[in-house]
Amino acid sequence: MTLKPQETQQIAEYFFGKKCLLIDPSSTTRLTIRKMLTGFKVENSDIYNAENFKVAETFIHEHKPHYIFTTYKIKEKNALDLLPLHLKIQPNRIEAGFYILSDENNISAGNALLDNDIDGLFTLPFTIDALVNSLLKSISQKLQPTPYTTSIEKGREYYFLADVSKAKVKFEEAIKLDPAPFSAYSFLGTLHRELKNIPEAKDCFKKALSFKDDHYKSLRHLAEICLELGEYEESYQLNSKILDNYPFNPERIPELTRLSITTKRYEDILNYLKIFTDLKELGNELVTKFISAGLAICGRYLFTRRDPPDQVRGLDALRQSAKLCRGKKEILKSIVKTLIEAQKADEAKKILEQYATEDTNGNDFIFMQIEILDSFSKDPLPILNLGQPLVISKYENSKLYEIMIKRSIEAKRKKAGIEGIINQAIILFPDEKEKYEKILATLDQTLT
Amino acid sequence: MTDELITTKIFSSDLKPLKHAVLFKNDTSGTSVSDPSKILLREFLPTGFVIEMPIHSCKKGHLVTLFILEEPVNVKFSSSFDSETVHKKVKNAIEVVGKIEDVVTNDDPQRENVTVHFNQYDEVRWKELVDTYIRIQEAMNEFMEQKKL
Repeated sequence: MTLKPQETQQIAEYFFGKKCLLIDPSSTTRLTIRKMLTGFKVENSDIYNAENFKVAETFIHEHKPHYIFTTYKIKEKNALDLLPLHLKIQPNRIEAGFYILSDENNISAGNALLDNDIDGLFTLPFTIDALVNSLLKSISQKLQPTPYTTSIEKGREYYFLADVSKAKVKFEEAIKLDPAPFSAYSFLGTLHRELKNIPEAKDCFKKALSFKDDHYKSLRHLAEICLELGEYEESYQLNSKILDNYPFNPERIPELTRLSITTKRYEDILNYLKIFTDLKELGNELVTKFISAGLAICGRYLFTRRDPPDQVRGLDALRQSAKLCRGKKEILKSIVKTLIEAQKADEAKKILEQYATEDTNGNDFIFMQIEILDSFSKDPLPILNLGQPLVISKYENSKLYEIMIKRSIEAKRKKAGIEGIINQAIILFPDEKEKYEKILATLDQTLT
Repeated sequence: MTDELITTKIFSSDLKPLKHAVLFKNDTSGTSVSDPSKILLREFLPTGFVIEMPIHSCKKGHLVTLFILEEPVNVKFSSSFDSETVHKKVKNAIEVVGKIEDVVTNDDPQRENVTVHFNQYDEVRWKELVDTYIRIQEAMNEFMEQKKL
């Protein structure tokens, strides 16, 4: 990109005195970013390096850098975790920016840009020209802010500083400064949503969309609000509009699959099974986690339908989900629950034995075993042996206490022992006090 | 309002990253890096690139032959691989001959950042490769535009 002398001057003036922080644990990209910034007349002494998350965090607190350029992953940490701090320390975003350098160069990586308050995403490997070009595009509105953008940015500044009323005034002011104030309406909507003024929030997002019908943030917020309000069809249509214009975000697999089920779009579920198979081949760890959750949801839906071919598909989806979930407790729990409810305890047992990992161990895992055993075993003793340590550790699941009381009575345990379990259940679940007190009152009779 | 299913708008290709691996043969020292996963392509230069690779693989001034391969690379190479083997095993490999221009230490003591200048290469194929990556950056810039106020 060739700049006119006047533009070069303007950029140099903009970056004059700004501190920049480069975070790249492998150091490879730092030299090029530094070269780009010194090309914009940032003083070499105003460019700092941080090799890890902790150093970066301390530096942001102490030196308040205006611009941050960071790799997406900072060793085991995620760079986006530094963003709230930077927004708080440098709330005036006309004078500041946050950029991510990412190895993930698929189109869906763009969701990181759309969903967060970051200013740009540089994909690796890059050319310096592409880097310069992207940075210049991203700062173009900051170089010569109009009264409209200044007003919005001032509102955002107050918002980041948690001064909601002043932020609201600025966004309302901005609405009058532009013939198509979709951003002002969208920010105002976000503010109302946080204040739980849902009808006002909805109205603002709708107004934003009347000026720009594919405005991402407004579509996302509105789709979420509709989902929360139980307006599922509306939410489905808004999500459909998002997918017409923006890449698919794998993080949204559980939400979208649930939405398809709620709006009774059976074909979607079959399509998801095909999509998940394609996505699985990518071998991306994060995507795999969401596919596993999606398969569990689709599997549960199909498995509980009466149609035999659907039950076969559903069981297969549940098995695949278990295989991909890497022992994740919540997913395994949901699969086991589905299978037990469908009286397939043998299948639940198989899945738990095969796919539980060290992550699954602990009380939840033991409870899943108890549920499985309880669904088919006539012998109460193995269940009581497994359940007793959970009762001692005050495991908070009322189903456990129901099983333990029922099985203790079957095993004709001593009355005092059973009373102990019931009394603990009363303390842990005061809402169900009445139910447990009834069992306690009739215990003598039950045991004879 | 539309009756189109949202699943008809989900494309697994959106999640497929573009990645290239590099096989490295040091013609001066006679050594090589035959495991492409050990080399990361970081920056394109007009006639060369910057790669991140294991230490002691090369020194400034060394002459090298490199093969750029589109991921996933599902074949293995012995340390004595040659041009014929690479082209036989992998379709569309880009072969370049170059000189090490710079070797800079990395924060990871086991890695170095190496700048290679190309002396012999297919300009058209090289440009095509770089342009493919530039297009991805341009797609990201479009999302950035969407955030304009």
